[in-house]
Amino acid sequence: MTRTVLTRRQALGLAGAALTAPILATPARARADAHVVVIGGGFGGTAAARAMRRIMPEVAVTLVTDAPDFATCPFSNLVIGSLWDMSEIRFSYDALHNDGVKVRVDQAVALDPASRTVTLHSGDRLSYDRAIVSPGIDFRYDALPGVGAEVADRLPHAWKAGAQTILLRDQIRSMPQGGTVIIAPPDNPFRCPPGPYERASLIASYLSRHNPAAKIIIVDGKDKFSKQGLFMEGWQALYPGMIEFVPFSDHGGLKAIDADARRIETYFGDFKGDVINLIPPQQAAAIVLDAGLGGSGLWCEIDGLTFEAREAAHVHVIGDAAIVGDMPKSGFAAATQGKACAHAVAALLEGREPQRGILMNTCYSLVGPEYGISVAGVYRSAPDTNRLASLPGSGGTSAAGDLPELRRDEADYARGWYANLTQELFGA
Amino acid sequence: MNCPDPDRVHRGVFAILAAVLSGAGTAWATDGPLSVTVGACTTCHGPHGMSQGTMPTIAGMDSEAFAEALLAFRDGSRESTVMGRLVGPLSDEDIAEIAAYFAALPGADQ
Repeated sequence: MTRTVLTRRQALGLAGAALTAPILATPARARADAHVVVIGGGFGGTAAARAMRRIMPEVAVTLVTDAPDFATCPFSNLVIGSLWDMSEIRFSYDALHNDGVKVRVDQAVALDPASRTVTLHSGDRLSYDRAIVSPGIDFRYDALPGVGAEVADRLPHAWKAGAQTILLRDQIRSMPQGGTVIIAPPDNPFRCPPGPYERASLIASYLSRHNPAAKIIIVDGKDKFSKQGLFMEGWQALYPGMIEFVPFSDHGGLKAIDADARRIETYFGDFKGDVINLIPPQQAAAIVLDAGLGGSGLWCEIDGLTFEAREAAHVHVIGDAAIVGDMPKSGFAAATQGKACAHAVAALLEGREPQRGILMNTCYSLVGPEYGISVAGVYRSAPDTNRLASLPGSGGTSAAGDLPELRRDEADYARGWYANLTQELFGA
Repeated sequence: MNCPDPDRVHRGVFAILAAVLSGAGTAWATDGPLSVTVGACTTCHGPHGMSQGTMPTIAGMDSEAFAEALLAFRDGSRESTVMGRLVGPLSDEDIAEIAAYFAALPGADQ
């Protein structure tokens, strides 16, 4: 391959001359009558719907979401820790309306890949050329001993933001002095791997100010967790002695749950709490599994280049409901996937080969209001298998050690990250 | 570890940058100005590269300075909290594509 090597000055000269040309280029023409239905108004669905309209303004996009606004799971731990108000993590879909996305506030109850229709709770049926499905997770209460979904009224999961977030916050606020909060996270895979530990941190931030003799016990469904070393360093620095981590191998699993007595029985001992945050094991949302998109499993397998479900054509599944190669189940990852999926759907509608671009994930966690840590990853679909694989030489966590400036900077970046992410999804 | 000659690396990136800016090759030829890869940047740096928070606004940056910054993050000569972890696997083509895209957007002062 021959390539003319330019000097920087030549490159810059070209830049000046040609900068505007590609920006003004219009995308290839799409089928003008195409209809894309997006299921889910969270990070994945919202990002996909807006990107779809930007890439192909002539394509009709309908987004189905079951509530008129959306509370984000990211930063909901700040609400639980009484550092932010609920109104700061709640967003309307007004900007999507302005983009020309038709927002249907209804519940998508069934997806039929054979007839390419989505049935809504109201009884309406939507036909699609391509469906982008980003419905998130459902809880597997059947995997917990002796409790059903109603247990969340007393032992909140707070793993879908909204009323549950407020319930857990208020239980912590009204806890007796010297009381105990139990957090019981599930085994992998589950939504937001660092979430339970950020939650422990920000509850500790609240308790250290208002209830300093209180304790937090994490009765975990696994032995190791995301950013573990960094979290534990932070706990030691900010809340020494307040947070105890009990790995799975030290308790052997949940044997019984007594919601009235607020007691968890495990195979190797009991834990009594004043507040219990019971985070159940998870699976893809019912609409995905009911449509047969999970195969024999609990999550949807997809093609990492197009996000099309392995089990059904013209259905693209993104976010927490899917297994997206090496990408974690995070809101940020879902938003990244939503944009990439919109590009893929646009290419398929036009009969083009989708781009094999870079996808990134960055997840910040706050250990305290001025103490941030992060984990990052970079992914590209492998040319042979289309699996979205983590790229060598990338990713990883913040540096360990006593680095107060770095922690302060990353706390600032965490807030900037949230502001920009939510602006892209819900901002004008 | 054998490091490639930085000047040679830079010349390579700027040659690709010039090609990208002329509209030849890469996703721009087929998919308008947006691409999967630039979408990876805006999730943190704000829609259209305009940041609301502590992350810098990257829209309207000089394309050469932009490519220089990414190259410095990639080879580790510029310290960072997270960028070094993100740009390691970017190819010269990726860097040129990203630099050209954001340079062409209106920046904060426009």
